[in-house]
Amino acid sequence: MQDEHRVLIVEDDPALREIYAGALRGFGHEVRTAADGSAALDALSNGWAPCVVFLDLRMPGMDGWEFSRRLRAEERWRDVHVVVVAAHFRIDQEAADIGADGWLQKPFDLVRLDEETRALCQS
Amino acid sequence: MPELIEPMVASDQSRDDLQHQLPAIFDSVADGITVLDRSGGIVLANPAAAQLLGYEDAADIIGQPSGALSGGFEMFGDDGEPLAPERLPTARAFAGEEAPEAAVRFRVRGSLRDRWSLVRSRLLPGSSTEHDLVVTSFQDITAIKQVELRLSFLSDASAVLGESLDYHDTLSRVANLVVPALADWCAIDVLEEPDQVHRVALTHVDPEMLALADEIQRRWPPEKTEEGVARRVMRDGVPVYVPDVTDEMLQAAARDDEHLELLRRLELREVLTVPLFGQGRVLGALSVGNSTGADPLSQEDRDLIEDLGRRAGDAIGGAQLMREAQEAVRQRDEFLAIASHDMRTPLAAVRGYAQLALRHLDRGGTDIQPLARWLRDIDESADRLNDLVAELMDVSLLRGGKNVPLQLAPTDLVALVNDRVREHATSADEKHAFRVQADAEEVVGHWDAARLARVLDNLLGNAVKYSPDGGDIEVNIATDGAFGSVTVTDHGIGIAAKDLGRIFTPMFRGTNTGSVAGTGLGLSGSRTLVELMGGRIQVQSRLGQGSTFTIWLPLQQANGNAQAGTA
Repeated sequence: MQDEHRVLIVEDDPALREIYAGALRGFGHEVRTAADGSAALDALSNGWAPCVVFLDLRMPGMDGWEFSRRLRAEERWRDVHVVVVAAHFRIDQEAADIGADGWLQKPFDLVRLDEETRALCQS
Repeated sequence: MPELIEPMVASDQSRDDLQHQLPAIFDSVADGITVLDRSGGIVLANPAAAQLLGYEDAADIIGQPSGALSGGFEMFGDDGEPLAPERLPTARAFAGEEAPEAAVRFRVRGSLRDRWSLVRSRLLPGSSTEHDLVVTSFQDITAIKQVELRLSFLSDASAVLGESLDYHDTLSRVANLVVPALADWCAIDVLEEPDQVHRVALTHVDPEMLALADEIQRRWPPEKTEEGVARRVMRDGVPVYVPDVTDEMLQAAARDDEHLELLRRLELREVLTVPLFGQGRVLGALSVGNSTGADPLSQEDRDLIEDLGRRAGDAIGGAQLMREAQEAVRQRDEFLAIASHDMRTPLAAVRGYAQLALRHLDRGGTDIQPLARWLRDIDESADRLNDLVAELMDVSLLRGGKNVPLQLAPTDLVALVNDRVREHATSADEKHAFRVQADAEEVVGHWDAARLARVLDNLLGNAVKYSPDGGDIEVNIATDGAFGSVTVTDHGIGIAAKDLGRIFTPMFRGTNTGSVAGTGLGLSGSRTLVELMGGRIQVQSRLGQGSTFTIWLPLQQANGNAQAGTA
């Protein structure tokens, strides 16, 4: 299967990082991972622009809120979609607050990662 | 009048004697009695009437022309409005009304107290209308009315106090009942934080004086006063009544000349401060005062204010209890939200690995290597989930005041620490490096290994979590023959000095933790578990430089410590 879309996973839990990356690669996407916001910005700064970022909010180091502020501040990343991935029970509100394109509440069916990616990137 | 009296006497002589004694009988009646003619002039009055009207003797008022007396006092009806003379029973009787009566509040000019009379009048028709007379009796009902007023005051105050849990607002309204009903001025102070006095209400009958009192309060806040009457009353729980405020007292209370000058301008003559009792302790103080020229507080007034203090204290105590209960419910809800949130991460991992394995099989994968790995990962995540549930159970037990059943068995601290560090090292990112150093081959004591592992996980996890820029995490194991110790040092964000005293408090989180996920339960639970095992935990930290946590555990359990979990 061809690499369909570029996806960045920002998640501090190593197990989940591996699972999400493994699943999305299995669905045919090109995947990079980062353990916090500043690692995610590093990945973006190397000229590798993803179509969608699956973003955890509560992370040590630079958190998801700060990352999304910096992402939105840059014109060149205007088209990058953000999907919040978190366990918080008010995740819908948190996603709306940072102007995200969607949210996935942990735990979820891994197929949802592919569905979200395709829905956002093929439109 | 004659037909009213048919004396039951034996002889004409006795009848004559009685006739002669009628004036004396009239004079001896406790109720005041006046007889007026149509011009308003008093043709007859008994001594009780004279006294009620502020005169020594009946002779002083008999023969006074119309209106000469009414200028001497003010009158008010039941509604509190000034009473026009034509609404008085006397005038109404002249106007033809049958036996009119009214409760009249009046105050003789120059006197300080209101009095109440039940006034009843009756027309005595004369030979012609202009010779009509009206007899009026005045029954002094001041004592009854005062009781009535106090009861209605207390009932108003109780209603206000029971209305809302916002006792700041409630107490302001109580102060506005006290003024002007009982006093010119009222202030209410409440003890909130331990030893923190808050003035929640201040009111004065005179707006100018209120502005002055406000200014004094603003510039010389009672909160900052170390010693004062209100403080003393709150400390001792005994009312303080100062019937005559002297200039010396003002000088003693004033903190500088200007303060003294403003205090003098308040013209306070008397001050009563009573404690507010609730929940078995003093919760605040209520002060009332009168300026020069106002009615002084009677003993009954002072009793009433003390009673009010008790009621207000009950209300504050109730509101504070309610707030505490609401806070406990809020904390429980927050705890549940955090607990379910924290369980979702390992749950997501269990589900994720299972799905990866299923997808592998669905695609016809025959390689069992990845399957074996994912199953191991599932097993590990389930283990994490189990630890978390155990930790939450402990927290829940301890918060509910119940004991945690410790399972004490010989445990080697060196092996346990190495095991936990290995676990953390495999899941930590490349930024962190663990350095373990042990003074001894083994450090063995009677401890609950599973719970001790959780304490170590907590300290190691925090060390990683709160050093986002990475760095070494040093772990030292040592023993001095009596205690075994483990020290975990990171080079992370550290803890602010002001937070250090509180980081072991349940649900407290350092002010610099930002959005780092956490329950605020780890350290408080760790301390509890360490203490249950007879040990202790300590922290040293500098903001921005890192933290060092040390636990000490006794190598020998004291007798009976095998049941460390029991009270």
